[in-house]
Amino acid sequence: MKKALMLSLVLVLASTASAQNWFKGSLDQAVAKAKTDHKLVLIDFYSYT
Amino acid sequence: MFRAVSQQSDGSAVFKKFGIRGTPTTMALDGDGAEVDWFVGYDPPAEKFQASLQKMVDGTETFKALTAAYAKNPKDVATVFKIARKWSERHDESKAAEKYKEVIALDPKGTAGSYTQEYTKITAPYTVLAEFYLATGGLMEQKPDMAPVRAFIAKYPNSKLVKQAYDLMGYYFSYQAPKEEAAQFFAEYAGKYPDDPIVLYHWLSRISRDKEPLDKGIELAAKIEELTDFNPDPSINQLLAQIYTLKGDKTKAEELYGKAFMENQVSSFAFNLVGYANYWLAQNANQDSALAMAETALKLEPENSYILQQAANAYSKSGKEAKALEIYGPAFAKKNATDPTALYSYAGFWARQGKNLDEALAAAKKAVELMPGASYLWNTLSLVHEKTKNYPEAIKAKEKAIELAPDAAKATYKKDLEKLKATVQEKK
Repeated sequence: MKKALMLSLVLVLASTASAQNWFKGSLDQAVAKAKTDHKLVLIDFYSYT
Repeated sequence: MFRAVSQQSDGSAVFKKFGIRGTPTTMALDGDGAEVDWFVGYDPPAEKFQASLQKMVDGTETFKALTAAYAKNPKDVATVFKIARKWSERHDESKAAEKYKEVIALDPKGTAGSYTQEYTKITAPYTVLAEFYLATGGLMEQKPDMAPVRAFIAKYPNSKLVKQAYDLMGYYFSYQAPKEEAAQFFAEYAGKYPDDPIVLYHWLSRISRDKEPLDKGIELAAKIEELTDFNPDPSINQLLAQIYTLKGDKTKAEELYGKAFMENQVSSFAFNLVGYANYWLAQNANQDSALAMAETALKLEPENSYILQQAANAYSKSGKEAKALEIYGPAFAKKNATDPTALYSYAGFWARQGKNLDEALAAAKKAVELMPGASYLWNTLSLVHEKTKNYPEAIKAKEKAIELAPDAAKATYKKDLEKLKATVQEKK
């Protein structure tokens, strides 16, 4: 269920890309939070065109 | 959700840390910062992306899961091959090559199983595919070595992968190779696939860029035109027009890619859209998409009677009578009051729907008034009368249709008349 919820969140965020709630902080901090929350960190590698 | 932007210094460091070579790349890390899985690019629809994310979350065939399987059994060819594919997808050719070589070493005879390429749906043994990817891995380099791919083609001349190998070589010869080398390669490529318009298109693109040899270009253009005549593609016709323009034949360029060509494309597309809409509505599925496509068709061809009728059919089938009548109702009949064919089609449509019958009757009467010698107009008038249960008038109109009809149609009309008379008898 936890995983499903996380996926829903990811998709909601993905569908509102312009108003994205990106993690505010470094990647190391995101990983640390993921460990605490037992979740994955999803990284969007992005380039401005 | 963490976003790494290549143009920002902190983002660039994350790109570097994971060796990311293309965007968009989506990667999942676990709580220890280890790579769980990744995918590069984005292919609609969104549901497909969602399914990929779900697999990542579920741990289905992720890089992490495959690596764990490999640790338990490093001799499983399928696992090694799939790890190689993961690296290939990430454009890390060196790590991919290492694993492909392992596949070949583990299963030199290629009997351990096969794999189906996602995009081409070509299925081949893991080992053959590993050899293929090793042979073609360097083809995107500035000055690629063609020897490995040539060796692959020689070893597997009947493999479906041979065409793909030529396609990949074609990239270098299209854009980077000197003219003479390109001409030699494309002659060989087109010689092997003489009826593949895309192969010829690539050769013609190269000629267009070089602006020579134009005679060869014209020869290829004529062949491509012949091969794509049934379903011309605007991007292909643009290139054909370009070649004819370079040759000074503006008339042919206009014929292939002028106003009439593009208007015909729009019209065909609108026909396809209403066809799609009515197909799915008849299947009772994809209703939202069907109606959206019908609306798009109307925007493309707002004056086309057939499109209006087919869109009205879609709306009518969806219970949107008001909308159907708005686009193909009294206003249409009024606008086409002097066109017997439009009125006939309109009357027949609504008669078959069993709706808007007063209007249908008025239109059918007007049509026979405008063209009283056309049997099919009387036949439609008969149909409308039948739908309004005015059987005497339906019979009269049918008799008139029989009187005027060409011999080929008389028999059908006569059968209709018999049925009509039988219906009247039953009613009595």
